[in-house]
Amino acid sequence: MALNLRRWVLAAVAGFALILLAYRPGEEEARPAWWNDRFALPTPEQRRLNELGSARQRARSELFLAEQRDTLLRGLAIRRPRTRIDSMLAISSRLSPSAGGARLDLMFPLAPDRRRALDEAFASAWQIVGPGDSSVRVVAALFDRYGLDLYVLPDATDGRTCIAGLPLNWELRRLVRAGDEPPPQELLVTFFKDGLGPCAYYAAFGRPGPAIERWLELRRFDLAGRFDWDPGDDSALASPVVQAFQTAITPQFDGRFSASFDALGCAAGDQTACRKALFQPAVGGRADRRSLPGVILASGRFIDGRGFYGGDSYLTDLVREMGRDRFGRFWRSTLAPDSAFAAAFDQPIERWTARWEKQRLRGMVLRNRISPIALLLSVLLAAAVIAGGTLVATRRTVG
Amino acid sequence: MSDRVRRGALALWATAAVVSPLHAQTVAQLRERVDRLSRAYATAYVEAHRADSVRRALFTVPPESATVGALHVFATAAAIENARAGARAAWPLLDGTFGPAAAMPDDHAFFLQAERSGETARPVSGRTNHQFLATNEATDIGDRLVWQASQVLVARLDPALRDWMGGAIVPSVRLPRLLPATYLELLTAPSATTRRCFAGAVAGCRDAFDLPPTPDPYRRWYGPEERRVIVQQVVTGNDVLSVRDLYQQCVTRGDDAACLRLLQRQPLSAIPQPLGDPSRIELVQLALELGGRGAFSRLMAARGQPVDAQIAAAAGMPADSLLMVWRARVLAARPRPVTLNPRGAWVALMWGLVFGLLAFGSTRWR
Repeated sequence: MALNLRRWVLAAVAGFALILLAYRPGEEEARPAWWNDRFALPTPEQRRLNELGSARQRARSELFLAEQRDTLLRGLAIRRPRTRIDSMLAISSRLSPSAGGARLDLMFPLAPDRRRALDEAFASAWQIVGPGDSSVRVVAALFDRYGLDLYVLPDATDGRTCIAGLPLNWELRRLVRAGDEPPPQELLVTFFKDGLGPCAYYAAFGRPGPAIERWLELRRFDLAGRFDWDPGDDSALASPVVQAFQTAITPQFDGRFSASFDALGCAAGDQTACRKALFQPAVGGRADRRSLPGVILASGRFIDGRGFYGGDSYLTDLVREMGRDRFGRFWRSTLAPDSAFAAAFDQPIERWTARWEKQRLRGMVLRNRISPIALLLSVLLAAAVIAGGTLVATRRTVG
Repeated sequence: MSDRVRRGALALWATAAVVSPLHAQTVAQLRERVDRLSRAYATAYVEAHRADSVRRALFTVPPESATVGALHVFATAAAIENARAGARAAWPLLDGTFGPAAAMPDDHAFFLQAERSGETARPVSGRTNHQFLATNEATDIGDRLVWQASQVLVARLDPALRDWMGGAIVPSVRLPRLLPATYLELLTAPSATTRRCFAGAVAGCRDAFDLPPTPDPYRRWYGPEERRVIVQQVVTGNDVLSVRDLYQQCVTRGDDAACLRLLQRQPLSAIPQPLGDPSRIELVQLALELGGRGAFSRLMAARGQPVDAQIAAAAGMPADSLLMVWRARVLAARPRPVTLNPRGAWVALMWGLVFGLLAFGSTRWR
């Protein structure tokens, strides 16, 4: 028996050694004499053409954003400072106590009763914002067309106005469709909660510290996609249960699988993955394309690539958990984002992010969880299938 | 410099600084930049194409030729030996299947462009050049040559026959391996025609092959119940909305007339055939094999006749006899049933267990 066992062990070791030898990474296979890369490599002229093509594409994107920005500013009669003296005047007006506030502008005609419903919803959302910085004014401009949300930050307007250019979504277009019932008030409020984006944060907490602003702008403020920090509203806490139910009945819409690998690694406790997800998001070069200082096009995951699951609620969850005062300290800090986070919340940003993403993923299994009983059952099932198959095959004749 | 002058200069500088424009990216500036880049891009485009042409000319060399039978292959010096070896392998296959007709591409030049090669051979004047891409290996060149020459030859057949086949006859040493697949097709196709063919009725085989071709072959191929299922397979998605009433009549109420009308709206290629294109090509190849060296020439000469008559002319025997020979060959190619012995079952279970145990130690995210 002992001899047999030893033979088995030796045979297994020899087998593993053979597999190791067969699959060891070898040297690159020598290329035959006729093989030539000359045609595969671009000429210097082609390289220059490619570089110019990329530069032209970038310039076109910037032009598109500048045109969008100017159209908004013109439509809202907001004048950008053209000279330094304009800029100084803008600073002085920003310091006046009546500089803040919010305004809702519709870029399309609407029946008075429906307009009133929109105004009320906007006021409700604004109440949740609870503006804490009177030097920032928010203008929400609504359009009766499909498109992407566009934000123009104070630096790119008159220095004190943050504009959210919001196209009506499918449900809200019921407002303008003749004969359709208007959407419920709750839907209208949600539209503003999901739409005001960075402007809500500017109004509530003022202008962010330069490093934090740069970080968020590079991410196109994807972490500030929505706000809902009203402590009286527990819908955000209840939603995971609802979401879990929805996931169970419609698994094809389970967005958790669209999170980036770094975000998933972060949720599994990998601190390096958290840093990468926060500071080097693999989102198809957000910083390179469509970047014009102070103009943010919220193009979404479809174009920008994958990020955190529930990333648009990152900052609102942070406010909800830490409170407005501490968040304000983080937001306005002049330190780098990670240092500002540690200083304001007494913990590393990676640790909080990992816990937050794990919570958002609602118990998604991030490690192997095969139970012994599952293994046993699968082996028994395989045995039953083999036995059944054999039985059928021996009794059936074909042809 | 006096104080007065100094104060004046300072005031001038301050005024200039205050009223000077802010550095910002205006639409006009950006538009000008886009225009400038577009102009530079257009120039660079012309330059890049000129450079490409120069490079292409630099690496275009006079071709060398290799002739085997009636097959003329042209390639660069680096690829000519493999091209010759490929032609040697290809020619017997072409000659064996197409016979004297294989000599027809005599005025055609098969012109090899070896993949990843730095050089390319110049096309040959006075011949029809057929460029084909292959790796610089004799086997690949041989396979591609057979395919390319077959396309040239099959293009000379009657269009009705080509439509019926749905593909080209490509000689291959691997053909006998396809017969077991045809056996399974004959046995499992959900059609009464294949069942009759399998049982030995030559009319069943004719119907399964749709010989001679008819406008609505699915009337012969399938019964009302099968047609209803096929409608569900081929009419899907938004197409259902455009024929909602007919679809309901066919699928929900089982109205066969509605199903037929729906199938008539579909292209014939969308409706599954009991015996698909590979089987049809296989039948023609069998006809060429049985008909001997002149079979392909006879097939070409029968152009314009009904499809079954063309095939019969190639085989040199009535179409029904050919179908019976085909059937006998297919039945003889019955796949060997898989036998499972007890030891195999235990080994399978053991491996399942081993992999299951190994899975305990694996992580889901790497």
